[in-house]
Amino acid sequence: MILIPILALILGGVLAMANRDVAESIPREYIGVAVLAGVDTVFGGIRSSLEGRFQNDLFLTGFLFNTVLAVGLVALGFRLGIAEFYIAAVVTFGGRLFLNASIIRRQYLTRVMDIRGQRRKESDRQA
Amino acid sequence: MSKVLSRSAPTWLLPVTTVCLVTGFLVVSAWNQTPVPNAASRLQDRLGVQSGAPGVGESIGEKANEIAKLREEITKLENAVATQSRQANVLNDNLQSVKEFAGLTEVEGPGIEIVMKDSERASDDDFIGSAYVIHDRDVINVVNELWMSGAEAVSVNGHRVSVRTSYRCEGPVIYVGRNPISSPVVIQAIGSPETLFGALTMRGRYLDDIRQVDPAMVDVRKKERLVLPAYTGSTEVKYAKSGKKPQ
Repeated sequence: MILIPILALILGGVLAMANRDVAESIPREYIGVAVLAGVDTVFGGIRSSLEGRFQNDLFLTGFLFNTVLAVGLVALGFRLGIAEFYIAAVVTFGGRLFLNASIIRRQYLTRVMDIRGQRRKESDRQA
Repeated sequence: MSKVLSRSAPTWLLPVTTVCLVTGFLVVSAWNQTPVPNAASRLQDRLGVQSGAPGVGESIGEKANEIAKLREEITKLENAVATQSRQANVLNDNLQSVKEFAGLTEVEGPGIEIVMKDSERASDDDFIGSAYVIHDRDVINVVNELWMSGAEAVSVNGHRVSVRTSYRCEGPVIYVGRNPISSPVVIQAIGSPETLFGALTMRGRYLDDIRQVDPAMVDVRKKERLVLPAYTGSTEVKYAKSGKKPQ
């Protein structure tokens, strides 16, 4: 079941390779923050599913809203003549990405520890 | 965990798959973006001054050679015409001396050679660092001092200086007329070697200022024989008309 999203990820990449004209027509300035927003949402989704708080609508709207907001910030920055405006989005998304990644890691670590602890208990009982 | 996922699979599958599809597309698109060339190499491309690839500089050089050859031929033809009569001969002598004065002929004679190059020292500070680099104003001032000191013909990096020669700074290169040059700048001048040498190396003069920053930046030498090429730039006169017509 988990394979389907991974396959979708690869399919998206293949689509981008196939339609290089479309992919390259997206302005360089926007694509960076859009990627960050996308990756941020994926990490956030993994984290919330591990915590058992995953919500469909929250996930999908979060992705759409964050991407649009990030790209909008860049566009606004260009209009205002503050080309560095996108840094706000980059720092926020980047920071959250690391936070989510650390939480995911911690979750998995505790899981592995729990399993080990249980096994040890069982072997103690047997002995 | 797999139990939890499989139970909620029907609901989460669609949004996650969608997001993954879009993210994959974006990541690969970003990866495929053509890289931004750095500012320096873009500037070099624009100016066509990099070595190797044939650029603007090279084609300018070819054209300049062509102009030099054609002008030499004109001189030969003028001399040929002059042999036919005494009047023509007098006229031609006059013409040739004017051309010599204007820098339209190759000339040779004694003089001095000044080599100015960027210092090997450098500074992170833009303001101070600028003093270690040879600028267009250095060329302007040195050429001016050469005229002041009685030079009869001057060339900068093999480009003859004429009344129309301009010097301008364009990023890392200096343009002498239309010819891009960069450090080291070699200025040759024909005139009395002793006078020119003395005048240019005098304390308090322009070259002394540069020497104060770094003595290695300037080198002045007397030369027994120098050959300066003819001016190859445009000599077109469009707007200026002679005020008094000779009677």
